[in-house]
Amino acid sequence: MLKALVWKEFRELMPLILLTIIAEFALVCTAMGMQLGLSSSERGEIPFIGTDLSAFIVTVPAIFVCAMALMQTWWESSRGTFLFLLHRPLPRSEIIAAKLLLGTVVCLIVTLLPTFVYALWAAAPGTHASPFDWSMTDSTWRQCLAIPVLYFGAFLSGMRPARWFVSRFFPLAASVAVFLLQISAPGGFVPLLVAFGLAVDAYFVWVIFDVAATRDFS
Amino acid sequence: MSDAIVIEGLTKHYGERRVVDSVNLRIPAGCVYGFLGRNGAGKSTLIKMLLGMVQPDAGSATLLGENTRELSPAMRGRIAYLAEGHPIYRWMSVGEAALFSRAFHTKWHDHFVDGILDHFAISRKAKIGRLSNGQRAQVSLALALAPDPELLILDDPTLGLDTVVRRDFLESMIHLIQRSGRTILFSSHILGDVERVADRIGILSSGVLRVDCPTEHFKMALRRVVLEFVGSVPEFPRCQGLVSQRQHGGKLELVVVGYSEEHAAIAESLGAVSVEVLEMNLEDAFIAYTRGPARPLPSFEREMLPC
Repeated sequence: MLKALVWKEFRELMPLILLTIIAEFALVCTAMGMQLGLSSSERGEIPFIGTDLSAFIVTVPAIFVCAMALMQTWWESSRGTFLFLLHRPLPRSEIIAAKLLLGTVVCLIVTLLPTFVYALWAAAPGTHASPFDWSMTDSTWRQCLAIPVLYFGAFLSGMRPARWFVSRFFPLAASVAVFLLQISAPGGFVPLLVAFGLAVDAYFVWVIFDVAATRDFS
Repeated sequence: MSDAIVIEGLTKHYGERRVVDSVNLRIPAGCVYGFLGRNGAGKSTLIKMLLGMVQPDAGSATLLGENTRELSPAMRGRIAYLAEGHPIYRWMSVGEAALFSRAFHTKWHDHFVDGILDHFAISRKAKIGRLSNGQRAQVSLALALAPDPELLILDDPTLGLDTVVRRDFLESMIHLIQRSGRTILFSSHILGDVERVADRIGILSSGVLRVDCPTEHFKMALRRVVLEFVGSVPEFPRCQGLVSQRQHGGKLELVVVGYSEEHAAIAESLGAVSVEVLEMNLEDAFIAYTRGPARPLPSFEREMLPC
């Protein structure tokens, strides 16, 4: 049953996942090209430092995870298919868990994979004319690992009933604030921020299950 | 005979508006129950409350003996639900939709699906999104029947279907009704459909269940009474059973539940020169009963008669 649910979610999200991966790798290739001087842009940027494209490699999945979460919830609700899905003989919590499970895995893959590919390329000797140390990627990893909070915030925004359009997005707005706090705080606060981020993630997941159990699907 | 559906005081508000108002209803096993009501009468909300999709503000309901607030997965497997508009994933092919639905059921009869798909010449490779409304309705019905459910709850299943497709859909439904022991609750706007298949009807008006009786009983109990007067036409006094009154020239047309000697005596006292009592078909009876602004309506007796 869980397999069928996960397959359905994956098939539904596949076009969006493919589009994002293509955009991500286009950005990675552009970043590599800039280092090699193949791009018309100014060359000589140090990977993961300064104004290179690694920032965009995080921005694209940030937008993607929000779109994905809204597709999994709001879209399902607006097409009326929640009524079909939730009547499957399976606990509602398992149906929501399958959505969240697939969403979280996709979110991490889409976020971490391009960064990892870019970092591997940057770490390989002779690929570019600038120094590289893995510690230079810390900030980008931190940004990547902060992205799930956006996913859970957007998922909750799509799940919860709201009287008007703007109030629906309050959870997403809160998750954006947490995300910005996590990526912009000084390095010394990293363990604290990671713990805070995980706590917020857990809170969002708890509220998602609570909303799914109590809201009206009309 | 045990009750497949028991509803006790089910109530739902949306904001200040009471959409479903203290509905009490018992539907015996094996009954085909037609749920009627104008748009916004609360039919869909009541059905969604039965399936746990909408949380009631008060009251309770049981389906096949299980409380609807906590329907177990096993119980959901015994109940088929066709939501309004037949929502199925449009990106799936018919075959994929069948495989997807099958994954959740231990009991699954592929021949039900194949039979309906063959009968309506629907390919398993066809995308749901490219099917017509009628074909999608048939696919929904096929998927709902394949697990051989004991109870079917259909929310306006013929909505948006043309006459021919509607007839086909109903024939499929009648065929399935012939299988013993199956209970069907369906809502509809189309009175002819209800008349054809329902043993018993319920009419919701402004969230209140006004009628719960055998279909024939409703048709027989509601009468159009035409009173003819010479000169000015008086107003018929409010009395038990009076649904509505309309003046046409020198005539006063009444719609009355359970026209009796008491009504006849009032008509005579008003000076009617002639009284004509007419039967109504279900559609006319329904329209007469529910037309006009929301107002208190005489309720039909709700004793449980065998279907």
